[in-house]
Amino acid sequence: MAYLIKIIILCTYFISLYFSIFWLVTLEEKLSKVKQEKKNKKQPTVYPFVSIIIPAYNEEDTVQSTIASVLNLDYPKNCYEIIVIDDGSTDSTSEKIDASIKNNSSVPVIFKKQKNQGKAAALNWGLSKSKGDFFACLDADSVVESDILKKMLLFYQEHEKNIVIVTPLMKIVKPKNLLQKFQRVEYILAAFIQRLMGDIDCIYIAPGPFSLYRTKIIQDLGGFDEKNITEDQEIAYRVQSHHFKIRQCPEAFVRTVAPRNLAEFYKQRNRWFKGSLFNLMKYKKMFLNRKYGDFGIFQLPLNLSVYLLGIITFCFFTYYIVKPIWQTVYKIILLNFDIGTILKQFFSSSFDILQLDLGIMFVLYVALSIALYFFYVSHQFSNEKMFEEGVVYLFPYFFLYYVLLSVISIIVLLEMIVGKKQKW
Amino acid sequence: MVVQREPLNIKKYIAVGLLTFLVFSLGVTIGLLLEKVRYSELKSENQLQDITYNSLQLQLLFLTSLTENEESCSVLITTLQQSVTVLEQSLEKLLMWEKDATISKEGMSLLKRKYTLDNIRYWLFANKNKETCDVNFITVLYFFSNKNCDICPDQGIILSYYKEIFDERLLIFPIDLDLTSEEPMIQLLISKFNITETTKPVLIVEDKKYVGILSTDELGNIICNSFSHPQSECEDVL
Repeated sequence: MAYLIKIIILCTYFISLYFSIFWLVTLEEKLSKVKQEKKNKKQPTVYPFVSIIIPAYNEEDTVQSTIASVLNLDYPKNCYEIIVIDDGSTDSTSEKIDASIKNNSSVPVIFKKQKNQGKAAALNWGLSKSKGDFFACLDADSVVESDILKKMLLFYQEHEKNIVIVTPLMKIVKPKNLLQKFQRVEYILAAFIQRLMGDIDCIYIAPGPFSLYRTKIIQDLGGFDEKNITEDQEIAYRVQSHHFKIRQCPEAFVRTVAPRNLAEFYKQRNRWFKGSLFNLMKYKKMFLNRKYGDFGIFQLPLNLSVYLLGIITFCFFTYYIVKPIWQTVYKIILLNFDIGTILKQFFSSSFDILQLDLGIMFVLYVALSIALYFFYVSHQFSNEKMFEEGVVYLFPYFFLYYVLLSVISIIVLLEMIVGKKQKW
Repeated sequence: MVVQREPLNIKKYIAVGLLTFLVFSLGVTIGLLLEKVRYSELKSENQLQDITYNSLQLQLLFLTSLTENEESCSVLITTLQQSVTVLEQSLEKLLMWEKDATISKEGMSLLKRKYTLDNIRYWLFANKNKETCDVNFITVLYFFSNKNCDICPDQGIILSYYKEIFDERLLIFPIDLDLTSEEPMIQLLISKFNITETTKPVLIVEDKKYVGILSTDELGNIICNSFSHPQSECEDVL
């Protein structure tokens, strides 16, 4: 048993290290291209018609800012339309939407209220009404920068013809608590990784906040999967399965509100994790299939290994943190709560460097160095300051945030085993 | 629209694999080197123990030939107490490192056997020493097992606790019963103290045998009552 555990630990380190080095090599390959793209100051030569679809469900706090940001886009007003769908909100979202569009006369707006059918159904309805060559989906908790459409369309014009989705660079609206600070760093890192993924055709998600699609091709592919709880991921998998390209436009910024508390965060991640597993199963034919390039050979195994690594991270955490804590509590009880002597015993034991597992620590040190390098480069890439939110929270970010995610992934797996049904 | 993917860059996958292997191998090599260093350290500590033991034996021989030996006794006792404490610490390290050992596992096992023998001879020596000098320490022979004794770790925690309190006045000699088949000397002790499979852990405090786990309070009472001179710490314990 001990040998088996040792082998699992070594395999985990090896796989994690392989993925880290893969991204590092990809970064070194593409770094000059990444830097060059950031300097692009051109304007699009033509302004195609674009439909912006905003599905909203109980977003009374944010929907007005979302609509306002779209109405104020720096894009010819006769070249885009807004389609807002209230997907059966139970709060005042509808009234807020009405108020937002009431005084607008410059941009055509279609507003529909419907019974709650889920985000994918709302998007499909919007897609059926869409007149644009392109359409963007915008979550009602996000705001776009005014030049986003110009930049994303210029990206379409300057890149290959078979790009079907262009995603923006997502940022978090000013974080207010520790959880949101964690998510800020996570989004910055994820945005940068997604940029690299685009270069090797590995983007597996078209985020809800302002991904821009070619209308005709998405319609030909059948629109959004209404049964899927992560329709933004499913559509990306489907696009990849037809060998179309998805790219990230690094100059197009959109800001979204991150979950404010653990309950919201859990709900969101639970859906993401489950959806990710469903999509992996749905598109298993692409898994380790050379026909799908790096997406099949690298990205899908990586997506799956996130769960395996999550489980192992959870086990490590339990073994190395929870177990010693429990042992200490047990010891205190056993020794009649003589904490003074226990503390004396603890401090009198001398530190010996030979007690550390320096071999494993070396591997971890290399992996952590790569993570820190990515942390640095991704902040530069996103024009964000590394220590804007302080430094202290970074330690729990690197050492505890992923444990939190691993706990959620374990719960997700358990829920899937017992067959719990998931709603959007 | 007919679309095609870019061909897979196999060379990149191989290069990444090689780089990963290189870093990983370096980590494994460091781990193995560390294990060798640990083993060497334990061996040299053990050599030092041997020399100290020879010195102690000689000191005792010398003392038994004298009529006035009170002052010299204190030197002998201090050396013995310090030496047993170092032996305990070394054994603790050995037990910890033995679990992770790969290349020197066999050497570590032999060393564990050697440390067990050292413990037994130090215990015998400490008891013999009592005949010559007026000592202020008590000896505890602690029989435990890692395989068939779930409560043994608890007894270990309680013993370490009293070691912290009484320091060098409490000399603990742990004997690993899992080594019985390899070491005949342990078999002799088992016969002498009549230890069976069901009677673990066993403590021999001075000459008295205690079977099964002793609670913190019980062991505290036993230790305090075993000292020939009153100990200030016992006011809290009793």
